[in-house]
Formats: sequence, C-alpha cells, structure tokens
Amino acid sequence: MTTVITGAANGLGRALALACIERGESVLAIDLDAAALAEIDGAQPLAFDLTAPDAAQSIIAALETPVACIIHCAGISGTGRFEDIPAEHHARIMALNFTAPVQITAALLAANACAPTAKHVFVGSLSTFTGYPGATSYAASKDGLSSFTHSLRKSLPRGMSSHCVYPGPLRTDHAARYAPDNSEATVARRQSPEEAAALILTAMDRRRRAIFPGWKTRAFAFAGRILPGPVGRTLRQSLFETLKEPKL
Amino acid sequence: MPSVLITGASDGIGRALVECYRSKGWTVIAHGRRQASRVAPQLPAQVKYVEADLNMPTEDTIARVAQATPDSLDLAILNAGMGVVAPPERTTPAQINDMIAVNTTAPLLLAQALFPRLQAAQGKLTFIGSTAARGAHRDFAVYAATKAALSGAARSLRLEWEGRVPVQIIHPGPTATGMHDKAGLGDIAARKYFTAPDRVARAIETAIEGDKPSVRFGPLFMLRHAIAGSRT
Ligand SMILES: NC(=O)c1ccc[n+]([C@@H]2O[C@H](COP(=O)([O-])OP(=O)(O)OC[C@H]3O[C@@H](n4cnc5c(N)ncnc54)[C@H](OP(=O)(O)O)[C@@H]3O)[C@@H](O)[C@H]2O)c1
Repeated sequence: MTTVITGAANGLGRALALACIERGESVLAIDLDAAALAEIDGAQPLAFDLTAPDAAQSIIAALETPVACIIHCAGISGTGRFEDIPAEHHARIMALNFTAPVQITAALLAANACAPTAKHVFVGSLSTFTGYPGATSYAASKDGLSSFTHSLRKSLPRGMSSHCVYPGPLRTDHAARYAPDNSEATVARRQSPEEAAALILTAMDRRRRAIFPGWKTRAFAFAGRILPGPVGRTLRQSLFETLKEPKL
Repeated sequence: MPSVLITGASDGIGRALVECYRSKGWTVIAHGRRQASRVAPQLPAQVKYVEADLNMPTEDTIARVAQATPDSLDLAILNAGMGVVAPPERTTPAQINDMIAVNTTAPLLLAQALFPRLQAAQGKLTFIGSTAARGAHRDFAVYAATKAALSGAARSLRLEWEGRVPVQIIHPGPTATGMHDKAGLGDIAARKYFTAPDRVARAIETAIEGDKPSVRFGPLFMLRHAIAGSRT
C-alpha cells in the first residue's frame, strides 16, 4: 500500500515523507522540485505541477499499490496587502491549495484507487480559527480545505477517514518566505517541521479528525474561537501592518 | 444617486436584488452570464447589464465587469454562484473547477478589481455566502467548501480593509430559485419550505444597511425579518 505525500520536497511535507519512510511505508513523494525529491532516500519520486489539468491522473498512473494514506501538503501563500498581490498569484494560491486537493480526492475515489481503510489528510492552517489579515486568499484556500475535510467524511465509504491538520508557524522555508519578520528570536519560536510531523502522524494513528500539532497551536485555535475580535486585531497589528512589499 | 454592482443578477436572488435597488432609485449595474438579449426584458429599464462567464476568471473578464461600474461605486454585491448536488467522487473535474472559480476565486478577484472604486465612494463590499459554509454536507461537499472559503476570505479581508472599505458576508438559507434544479437537486419535500427570492433579497438589503460583518439567515432570522416587515 502506498502513502502519497504532496509538497514532499521541502518543509513539513519532506519531514512527513522521511518519517513515513522511517516507519517502513512506501512513499510516493510528489513535488515540482525534482532535484529536491531525488534527495529523499527510499521514496518513489514524482515531479510535476499539481495544478495541471491531468494531475490526478498522473498520480493514479504512478500508483503501484492502492493508497493507504494521502497527505495533501503542497501549498503556497502570498502575503501583503490583498490589493497589491497580483491577481494571477491569488488564483494560483486557490488552484494549488484548494482546487488540486479536491480534484485529486474526487479522482482517487472515482477510480477506486484507495484501500478500504484509506486516510485522506489535508494540511490546512491555524488561520481557520484566527483569520489571517495579510494573506486573505491563503486563508480562503485553507478554510475551503477544512470544510471539505469535514463534508468528505460524510460520503466516504465505511473504513476510510478524513483529517484536517491545522499547523501554526513552522521553521520552514515556506514560513520564512512569507513572514514579515525572520529575526533569530522569531524563527526560534517556530515549531520544527520534524516535531510537527511526528505529532501529526501520532494523531493520524489515533484517527483524530482535527489535528493540532502541539499545545500552542491548540491554544491559539481556542483563543481565535472564543476571542475572534482581539485575536483578529492582534494579527492585524503583528502581521498585516508590518508587511510592506508583497511576498509571493 | 448611489450605485450598486450586483453579480449573478440575471436570475434568482440577484435579479430580485436588482428590483430592490432600482425601486429605491439606485443606479444598478447588473452582471450575468447569459446574453443580454436573454435577460433584458426581465430587467427594469435603465439597468446596465454586463455579460461575463466567471468560470475562467481571467484578468480580462474581471476587468470587463469592473469597468462596467462607475469610478466611484457605493456598493458591490458579489452574488453570482452555482452548485452541484453530488458527493465528491461523482462530481466531474469541470464541475469542481466551475464551483471554485465562480463561488470563490471570481469574487476574490472582483473584490480586488473593485477596491479603488469602492474606496473612492467610501463604499461597501458584500459577499453572498451560504448557510452551508458552516458544518459538514454530504451531497454538496465542494459547494459548501467554496462558500467556507469565501467566508474565510471575508473575515481576513475585513481586517485588512478596516477603515477603508467595509467587508461583509451574508449567508442566505435555502431559497426558491432555479439554482436547485440547475444543481440537480431532486424533488425533495423540504423544497416547500424554501424562502421566496424577493423576501431573501429584502432581507439582504436590510442586512447591508446594518453593520454586522457576517449575517446568517437561519429560520429565526427570517421569521424576525418577516415580522418586522409586516409592521411597516
Ligand atoms: N438558492 C439558494 O438556496 C441559496 C442559498 C444560499 C446561498 N445561495 C447563493 O446565492 C447566490 C445566488 O443564488 P441563486 O439562488 O439566486 O441562484 P440562481 O437563480 O441560479 O442565479 C445564479 C446567478 O449566478 C450567475 N452565474 C452562475 N454561474 C455563473 C458563471 N459561470 N459566470 C457568471 N455568472 C454565473 C447566473 O447567471 P446566468 O443565469 O446568466 O447563467 C445567475 O445570474 C449564489 O451565490 C448562491 O450560492 C443560494
């Protein structure tokens, strides 16, 4: 059986792929970056653009055994003032973060490519609970995924499950690329992708539907839920107002 | 007179909204996908119509809709939307693309294109979501997800545009429009209880006058609105 991981070349996806290989799973590692994929020992690499119209079919064609688990981790962001981020970048965020996982899930199910106990795992964002001024289209794409995870569960065959992961800031290139501040102290506060990956896999084994990697993440989600006003204003000040040029 | 852009105004709730704002004397710019000749007889006189298919929201398409509006725009109601009733594995790739494009990506890009015009008039941006944006929905998982995404966009954009352009999202409940037939919903009994589009349009108009950033039209809301309406 196969564990499929998208966005496996870097950051959280790579950490998840390495952890799954360590557990003895056969991993199909997907990313745009072929060179980085080649460095993951023990994975079957598959380099292509997930927003291509035939993306789902490319995955199905590459599968040697049914999907035991698919982790949709590939994602991009774009931070800055909503009106300053190019329209095509907003569209690309929606296409990669939201449309691609939905299309792939529908196609895998329609093609009967999943094992009877397959897990469908979507990497969302803590922003579902807090909002994300300065990354409006990113937040939208991740809220779409979170909703999709919970609706999907209702139509999945008995035995299959769907899970949404809500990570906070991670010590990855992704976070560094989009954050307003990458000072040493800020970077040190971010969770390491290895730690997040380990927590995510444990939660998946326990069949948790909503997965918060670590207590800090859970606490932030809780705060966003009960105090949306103050949390929103804090994020506006700490993120949005400190962003100058758009970061794509 | 104030001006309003209403997308998805060639049918259903959008068309009822056109009536509401025309009867108040507003300048109305109506958007729809169908040809002008197929919508004009039903639209009140003096309503400007702009035709654009939003299932591939390219820069040209978005710009065409934005440019049909005045330089100073008081209100944009981004209402165009569509759904498909089927679990994900029986939704086609094209249907998935269309739902995400029309319900989420297009309104986001329109919001961006309209921003300077809305700012010039100190205007307001209103997205039309759906009560389905919350919770889990077996037979319209993708539709619900597109509306949840729109809801998330509204929340963050509101924080970004605070003090510049107010952003609101209104979530109508089941409404007796052609949408359900187009979506492939069968003749279920619950349809009897769907609200008439003109009542929903009036409730939307009232919600837009208020300053609540997010309004859900649950059964209680509609009842209260009906009682308030019968008093005046
Ligand atoms: N009806 C409900 O129960 C309900 C409940 C909650 C929320 N809503 C939301 O309310 C909004 C209006 O729905 P409605 O019930 O009035 O639906 P409707 O009667 O089917 O009208 C939909 C409108 O959207 C336009 N539209 C659809 N696809 C389009 C595309 N690809 N490009 C451009 N325009 C497109 C249609 O244009 P043409 O007709 O010219 O093609 C039409 O004007 C939607 O956003 C819907 O999701 C509806």
